[in-house]
Amino acid sequence: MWEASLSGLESILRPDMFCIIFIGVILGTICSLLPGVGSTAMLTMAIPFAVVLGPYGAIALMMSINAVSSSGGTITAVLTGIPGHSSGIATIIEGYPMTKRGMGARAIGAGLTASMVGGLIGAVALTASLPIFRPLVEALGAPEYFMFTMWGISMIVMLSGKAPLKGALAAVLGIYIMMVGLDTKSGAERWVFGEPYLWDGIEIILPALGIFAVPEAINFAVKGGSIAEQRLSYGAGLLDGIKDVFRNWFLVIRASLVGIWVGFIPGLGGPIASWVALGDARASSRGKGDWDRGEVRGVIAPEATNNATEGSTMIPTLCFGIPGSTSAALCIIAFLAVGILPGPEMLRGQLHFTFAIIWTLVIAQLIAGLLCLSLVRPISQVAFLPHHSVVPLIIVLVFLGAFSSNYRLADILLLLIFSTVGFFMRRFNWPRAPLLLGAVLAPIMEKYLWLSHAHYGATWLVRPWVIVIFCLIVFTAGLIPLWELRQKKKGVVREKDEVLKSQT
Amino acid sequence: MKKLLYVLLSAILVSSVIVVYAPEAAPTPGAPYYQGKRIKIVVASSPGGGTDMCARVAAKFFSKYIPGNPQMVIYNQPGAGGQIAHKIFYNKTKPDGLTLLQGSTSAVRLQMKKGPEAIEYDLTKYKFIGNIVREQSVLLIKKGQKARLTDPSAKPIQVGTKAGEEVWLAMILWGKEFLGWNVEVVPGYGGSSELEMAFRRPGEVEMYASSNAYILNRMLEDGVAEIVCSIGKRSDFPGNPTFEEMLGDKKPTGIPWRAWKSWNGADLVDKFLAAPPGTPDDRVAILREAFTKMSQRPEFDELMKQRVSKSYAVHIGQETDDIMKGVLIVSQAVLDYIKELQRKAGIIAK
Repeated sequence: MWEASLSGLESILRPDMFCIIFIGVILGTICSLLPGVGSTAMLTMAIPFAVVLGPYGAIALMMSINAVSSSGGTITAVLTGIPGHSSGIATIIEGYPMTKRGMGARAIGAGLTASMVGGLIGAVALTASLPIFRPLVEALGAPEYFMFTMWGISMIVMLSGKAPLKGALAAVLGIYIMMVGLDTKSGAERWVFGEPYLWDGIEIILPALGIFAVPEAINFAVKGGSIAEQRLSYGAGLLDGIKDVFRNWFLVIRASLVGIWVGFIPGLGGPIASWVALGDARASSRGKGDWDRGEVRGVIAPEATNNATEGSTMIPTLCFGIPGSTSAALCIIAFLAVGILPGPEMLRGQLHFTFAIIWTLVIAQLIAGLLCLSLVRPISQVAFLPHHSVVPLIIVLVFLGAFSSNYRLADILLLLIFSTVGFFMRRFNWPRAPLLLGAVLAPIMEKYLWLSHAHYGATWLVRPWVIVIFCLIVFTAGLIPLWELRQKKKGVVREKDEVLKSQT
Repeated sequence: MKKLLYVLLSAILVSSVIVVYAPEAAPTPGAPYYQGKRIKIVVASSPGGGTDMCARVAAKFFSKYIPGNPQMVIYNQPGAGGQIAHKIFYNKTKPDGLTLLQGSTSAVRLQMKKGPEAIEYDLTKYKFIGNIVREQSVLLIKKGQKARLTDPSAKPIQVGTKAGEEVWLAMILWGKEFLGWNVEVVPGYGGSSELEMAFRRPGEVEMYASSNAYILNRMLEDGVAEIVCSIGKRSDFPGNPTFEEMLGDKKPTGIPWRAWKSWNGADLVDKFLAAPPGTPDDRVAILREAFTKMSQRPEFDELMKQRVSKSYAVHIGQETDDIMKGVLIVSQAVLDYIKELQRKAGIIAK
């Protein structure tokens, strides 16, 4: 195994391979900086180049683009409140309030460092656990997947602040929004009003941009000034952010493990893992910290998870040759063309390729992290620019993000509808994060609930892993209100109502 | 500095407008129609899938064999199972031979299910350039479970599908009806990856099909599956019966068999390239000839095998047209029969 690991590293560290990784990182980071522009389009365009580069070249190019597909999104999420992708939405909850308090650079520093460390831990854990993942993946079925989604949805408790009923209603609205489209099991039309445009359902990026980014931009334009309400020097706190990650080393390890543990499930991992990590960070804080006002641990946890997930999404590909995501499917196309056979052979005769993939993930994430960190000082100036310079930029990015997901004008119309909903939710102090959480998890939740019932009837409720995950849900979701109640009794919890009013 | 920036931005803007809206150069008298022109291939799906790959491979070689060597541009228009692209293509595209559509079986299934009035396009009126057919589907069952298939007292074999629309599902529906297969269809899976994972897990999917030789070989080598039958003969899996052979003397005639042919015919269409209705015949002829020449080139074959499928067949123009009409022009009784079988399997509500 060590020989294969060294052989993989040696092949990837060749100057030509290193250049390819660097190019891949630049391309992937550019994609990740623009909301709605995922790595899929870039990977599709890279395939013809990858197939002529040989096996290691294909790994270097495809995996480096794939590995950094969420790195740059930290910057836009924290600075402007625009989520680059569904896994990045959790970062906004605490990251954007930090920017408002003039701590944007600290938040980005913490987020990017956590991403890098999370990616490294993810890669190491992936290497160590390769032999056990295959039986583990085979042991979990639709009921366990459904319980994972319930774990994610239980985070509503945390995201609703002091308005749990409003939070629950917002989550229900999110779930309803995602019911629009053709029912995947029967092909029946649901809430499509005879409009084929709605058959494929609603892209998650549209409510994400409309509910969060646009109301913030409107508020910012009306209020004037700059995003940062407190004046600090440009880039101040960057080093503090980096130090924060090492101060909270145990949280980073835990969040990374959540990323690996939840992330390997195809089509499920990323979005749920980041919310679970955020909930865990809050539960473990025992009610202490600046939660809801911009708490750095609320940035560290989801960011560490996001990058750890990048490695674990490759597990189904490495163990079975099954793509865990669209990006992984595109990587497989390129790999097959250069003679790499994803599947069990990757853990036997082609182990050197497996390690080349893992090392590429590590190196690409390090390069992307350092590249983005070097840009923090100039980019964090955005938080201090006057509203008339920043609002048009945010609006252009938001509309570009909405349009680039499918290149359809109707997406812009939907964005405007969600923006109106978001505006009124903000105006009347409704928590907006539960709506997005509901929307992100609804399709997966519905699918696995149906499949659990179809295959197992009611017996799925007593499967051992279902009970274990249920206990985890009770533990995570129950601890947060319990700790906060205790802290309140001690008089530690500050007046959060006013803060929530200004932020939600 | 600021002025310079404004001048620069204005120049970029003006030149972009000129480039986008500039009239195409007037054709030289006697020059081929396609000379100096651009052919747009609308792909009715997202980038990266099989349909998109077919269009991209064709775009790479097609132009070489069209007199005048036009430029080729790919435009992905996904949505509603391809219906959005087909609707615009059928109703709004100028039939000048400069816009083509790369479609797939899903459009055929949609027309069979809803009818041309509801979906606002009619595939039987397209001018087909040609189509590419990949391998036929092979039905897999979990190792050691074959006996349960014909044992009515056993727990039904769970068949996993996406929305119960796949062509291979015909083997399940007709098998249940004519061979007495003890099966239960569970729709709702997101795609072939999810289906394969569910197949490998104990207690979930026990039967499903794939046409991908890579997936099939992997499943067989891992010892998790065995082959039941395939829709058509597969040279890479010799010795396994086709479904028709399995039927033997139980093979139905009349409407049930015409319905089988219609459902399975969609697989013979697979990935097709078409011009809109009304495209002049001379231009369609040029495009069909170029498609024929292209498909005979070894470099096209090599790229197709690399990117799309290890084995495939090509049909040109009239052949595609005949296949499409054979699938879509069927009596109401045939359509009703298909719906009845779907109802019996619980795929559509009773």
